[in-house]
Amino acid sequence: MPFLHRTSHMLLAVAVIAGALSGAVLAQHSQHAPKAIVVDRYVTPDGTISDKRIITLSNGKIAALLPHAEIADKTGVAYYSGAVACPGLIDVRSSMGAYGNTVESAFSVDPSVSAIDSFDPDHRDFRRAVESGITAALIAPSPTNLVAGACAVVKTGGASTGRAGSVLRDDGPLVFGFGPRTWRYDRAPTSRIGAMAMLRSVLGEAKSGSQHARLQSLASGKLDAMLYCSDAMDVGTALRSVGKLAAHTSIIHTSDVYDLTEELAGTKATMIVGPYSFSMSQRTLSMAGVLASAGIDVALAGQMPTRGGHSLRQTAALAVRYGMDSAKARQAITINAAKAAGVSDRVGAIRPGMDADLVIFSGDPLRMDSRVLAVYIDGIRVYSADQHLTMSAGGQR
Amino acid sequence: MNRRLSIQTIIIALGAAFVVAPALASPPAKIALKGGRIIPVVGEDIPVGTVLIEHGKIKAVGKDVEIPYDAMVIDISGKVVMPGMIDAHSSRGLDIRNENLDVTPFLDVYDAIDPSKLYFEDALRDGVTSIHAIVGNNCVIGGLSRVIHPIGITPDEMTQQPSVSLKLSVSPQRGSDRMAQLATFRETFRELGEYLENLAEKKYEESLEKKDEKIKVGPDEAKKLGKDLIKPEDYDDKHRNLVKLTRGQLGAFVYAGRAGDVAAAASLAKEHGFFKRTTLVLGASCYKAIDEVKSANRPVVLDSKLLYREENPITGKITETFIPRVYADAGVAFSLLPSSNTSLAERYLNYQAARCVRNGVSRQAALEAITINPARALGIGDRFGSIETGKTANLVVMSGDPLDFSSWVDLVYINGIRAYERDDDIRLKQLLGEEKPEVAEPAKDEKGNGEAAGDKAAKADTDSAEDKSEETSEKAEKKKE
Amino acid sequence: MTFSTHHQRKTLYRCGFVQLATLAVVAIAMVSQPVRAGGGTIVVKGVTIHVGNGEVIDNGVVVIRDGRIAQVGANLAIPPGAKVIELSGGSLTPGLIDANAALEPTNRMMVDRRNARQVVADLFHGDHKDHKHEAVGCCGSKCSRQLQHASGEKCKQCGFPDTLPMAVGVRRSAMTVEHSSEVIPQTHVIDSVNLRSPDFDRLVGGGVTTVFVAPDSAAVISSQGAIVRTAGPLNARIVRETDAVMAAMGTDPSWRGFGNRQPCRQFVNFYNRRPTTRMGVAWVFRKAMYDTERFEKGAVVYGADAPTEPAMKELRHVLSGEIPLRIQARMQHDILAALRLADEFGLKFTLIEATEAHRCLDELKKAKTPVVYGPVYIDAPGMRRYSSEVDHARLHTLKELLRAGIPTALTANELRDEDGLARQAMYARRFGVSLADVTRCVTETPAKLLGIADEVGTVTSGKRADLVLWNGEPFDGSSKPIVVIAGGEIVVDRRKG
Repeated sequence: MPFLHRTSHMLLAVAVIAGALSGAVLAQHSQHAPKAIVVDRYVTPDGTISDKRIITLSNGKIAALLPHAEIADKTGVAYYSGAVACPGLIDVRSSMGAYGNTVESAFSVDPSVSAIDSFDPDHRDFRRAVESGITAALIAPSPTNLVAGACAVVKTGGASTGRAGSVLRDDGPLVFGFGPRTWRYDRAPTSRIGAMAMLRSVLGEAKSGSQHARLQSLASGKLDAMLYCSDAMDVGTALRSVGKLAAHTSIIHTSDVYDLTEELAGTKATMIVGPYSFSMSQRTLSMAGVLASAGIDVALAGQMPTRGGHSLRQTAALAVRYGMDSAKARQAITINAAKAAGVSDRVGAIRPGMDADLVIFSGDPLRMDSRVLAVYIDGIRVYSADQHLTMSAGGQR
Repeated sequence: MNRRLSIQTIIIALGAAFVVAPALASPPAKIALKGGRIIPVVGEDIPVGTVLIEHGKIKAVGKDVEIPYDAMVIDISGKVVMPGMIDAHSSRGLDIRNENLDVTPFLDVYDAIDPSKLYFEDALRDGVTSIHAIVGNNCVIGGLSRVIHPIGITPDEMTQQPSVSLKLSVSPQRGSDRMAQLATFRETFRELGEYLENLAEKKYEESLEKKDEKIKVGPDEAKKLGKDLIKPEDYDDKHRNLVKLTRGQLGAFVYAGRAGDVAAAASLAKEHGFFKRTTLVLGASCYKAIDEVKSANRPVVLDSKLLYREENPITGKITETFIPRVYADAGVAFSLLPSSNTSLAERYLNYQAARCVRNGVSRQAALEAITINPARALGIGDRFGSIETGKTANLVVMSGDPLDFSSWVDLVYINGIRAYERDDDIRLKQLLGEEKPEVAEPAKDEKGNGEAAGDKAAKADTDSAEDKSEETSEKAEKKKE
Repeated sequence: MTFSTHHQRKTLYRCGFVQLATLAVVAIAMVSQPVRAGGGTIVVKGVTIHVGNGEVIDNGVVVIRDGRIAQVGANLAIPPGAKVIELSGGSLTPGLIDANAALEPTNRMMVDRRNARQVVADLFHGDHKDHKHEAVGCCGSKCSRQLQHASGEKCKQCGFPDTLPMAVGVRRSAMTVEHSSEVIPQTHVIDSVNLRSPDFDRLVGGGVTTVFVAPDSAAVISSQGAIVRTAGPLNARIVRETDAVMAAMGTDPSWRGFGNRQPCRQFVNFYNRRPTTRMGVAWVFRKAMYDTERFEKGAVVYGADAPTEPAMKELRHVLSGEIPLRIQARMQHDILAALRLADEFGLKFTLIEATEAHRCLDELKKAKTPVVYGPVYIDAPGMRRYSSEVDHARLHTLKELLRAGIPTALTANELRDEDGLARQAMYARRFGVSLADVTRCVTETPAKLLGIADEVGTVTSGKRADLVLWNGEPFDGSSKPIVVIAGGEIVVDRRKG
């Protein structure tokens, strides 16, 4: 029976591959846009590592996932023996490629600001991101304002080498800043109570329709919110003020929301935690694990380019070291990050129909000794370790 | 504090009068404090009894003491008499707390005591009759300390016991570290040994010269032979007190600021021969070294900060430890210090004791910690610290129980002399609104509120009357002189 | 002081904002808490009950059922199955109420204590975070006059203290006051209150069960305070989200926080404003009220000190008496100025701090102004020590206020733990106030002043079971709260050790 079973799969696989290969435009550079990628294992949407090995691509999308089979026609097939395919990593707390300053500090309520306007597709941050396996990034305006503006979500690579790719969203989540970083000594608000009084009146105006369109659509539950918080108290306040209005809420806070775990579990909010570093306290490092095991969606962030490209995977590895389930940690840097950015319908998982944004690691992406072998964005190989011999493990130059 | 000075300078003229005058007046030969509750600290309380003072000493204590016909009888019924409280470690009476130099065993606080400090007036008001004037903790080897009482216009007059102890600190000086601190000790004692050897050699040579003999022995032998020839007056100022210290002729107050310093303090004292005369002055966190403190079995003086608050770095939870309780539970005899900070309450030694009781220390242990324990630590336990026959008549009469915060110090006797009387305390009266401020307020327009105006006038009258009586009593005192 | 319709309306309007969310949230928290013997009956027996209104019941028994006081009396029968608390020689008072407590808004900076000076500097000069500890000097590089004052004094220009003040004071002025304007009644202190703050544990440990969270005095017309319980389930902690607007006389509005200054050799910003003097304070107060009156009539308000529109919307309710007004004034002439200004606009107010109230008793009595007095001190605690308003502090002020028949509550303001309200009461006893009177000053009177007297403030059947059990006479040197009961739950228990 097993034999038969396997045979049938093999037949199916061969059939599919043959179809794909013959039907599609057989590109002159099949090396760069393969029809299929053969790996040992791949990271499933639920974060585990499964042993399906063939991923077929079609028009920049993932067409099918197949068990291993002998492929008759080997043209246009990329082989990575012993490798693990992972959905392209997503950094949801970054300002990469943002040209110049992203602090628009004249007014503390500035919903009209769009991060996409300072997006520089030729910025070298994107090449570094690709090299470390990050295929999409959320670019946020700096959260030093109460209402800081709209995020953009972009792919870090595309058809032309060294350039950022397509824009996934230019009207992404609206960024709100909470806590001391929004208080300045030279303009209102200067304090917590001043900030809250201001926010109350802004949201009141948004509800009654006399505010910026973005705030209005947020108040009517049609727009996501991304809330930057400084301490646990801010998290509570943020959740209770903006959090209950927005379509989906992501809260960025790293150190100590243990007290609020239950409150958070009652909402659908995503907690964005990180970046982590080795010098942090145990209390901080174990928070991602605590939140995840309480059933809260956790996304981990690497904060490119402030931290290096390795930061995202290091954060995930440290989270696992301090108690996070490894499957959840893999989700936290892929699908959960995509959810927080509001692009989970296109990226973040290896599933038929999703964008073919793939990172081929030499092992488990959570292991720091795994290195990036190749990166595909929209089915096109944008990076290959073979051609970057100076590269060290993890994609750091 | 500076701001207070303006008022204080005005009052000081008045205050000085009552501080100084009693000290100069010769005491009545015999005084009987009759009818009050007696807390002798050593021994059982006497609910109603008499303390008989004769020539500055306690002649008799008890329920039925026969009062001599010529004794001045003071009725203190309803009040409480207790031994004068003892401040075991205070630099507040000095002009500055610490010298800039590290090693200053040649200094004596005698030169730094400033009798005009308001602190002494306050101490008297708070019922403190003995103050161990000692340099602060910011030193390596500080100067000689002495026990003084808070009355008198010269340090000589104030002195109860000179040359009590040397101050040493194993905790680092400001701006220094522990290694440097202990290295300084080592260097000092090494230098002392060298000095003694050279002195011995010199003395031996001198003794031979006197006899017109030539030296026949080597330097090592000379050092040994000369040892016994050194007389106490041969030591120079720089080394005299250190020699006394290492021979156990001086007490040592060794400050350990942190738990880790306790062991260093003990080993330093043992190594250099003054362990038996050592009193440990312990910082707040030293309760953590309670085992070491207990095994040292030396008197302990606690920092005025009695509550230790610590934050758990991981959970953020704050734990509080009441420090004297730890020592009391371990059976270590400790002395309490009044706080010198701005608090209204902790500056009272009896309140510090009340805090102990509130936190589960026995009443007896708490009372001992402000009277007999410091007296013993200072080596004056045979003269002060309790109400016992034969001891010096340093007594405090309080309006109620000493551990009740609403009791006031009514009378203070030092050497049988009445040093303080609350009825004459002008500054206190002013703070309590019983005395008009020094500058008369302009009369307010009452607009037909005749009653209030009348009240005010009446009050002003009584005030001025009090002023007059104050003046007259002062005059009377002066006539007595 | 009734619970006005305005408050109800406001609460409904804002309930979605904090309260309802908190309700929902904390409901979860409650479920997760271990189920205590809350439903059961607790009996405290064998204690001297100081009822709070001056009555004393010897050998009293209090029966607590369902979070309320069911029965009070001497030698009552103990219901079967009740949990009995007995303490020989103990006494019982109502839970203490601090009518002007300054809360630490967050516990965040406690962690940074070692670097406190830098933190303070950051707060004063937000954009100079890269300064080294030493480089901050007395007031950071922003202050051009830093060489002009001696060490140990505060900078005359920006108010930055040369020596590190008690962190409490700094945190207060930097975080609970909005500095962008001098008239900020639209801000609410409750937004800064962290119900999980260890500060509440410290308060309840000292026997304080209800507090009015005081706004800071760094603005002429400051925020609205809140009434908060210090213990019990978080969803029931907030008694009143907004209660009274606080104004401040004297010099606090001009130097506290970032400090107002004259535009001299530095960038012009919104700190170049009134008040920088006492006259300025009165002017800003007067203009705010005057403008509000005009605004209500539809006139356009203008001028450098004109209040903002949201501020005037709140001030309207202050003028109509719907929102109570509190005025902090320390010195005699500040108290008189407060009385004068209130008279001008027909305002009723509660006087706060009133350090020199003993010098204007008749005026206070005539204006029927209640007082929240305190703390008692000789050397001023906290940021007060940098103020010039504390020189004439006297110890008998409370005694005089009570003797004059002025309703007076006692407060410890920012002082905590052993230094807290119980100690203030202890001082009052030492300085001539009877035990009955001082008990009233920290229980019944503040409850009445805050308008919560039907709920708390005395040991009376039917009221909320907020009680403090002392191991001796209350407010005595050698006694402390041994058991604190809040809402029928034992929240502090020090009977063991």
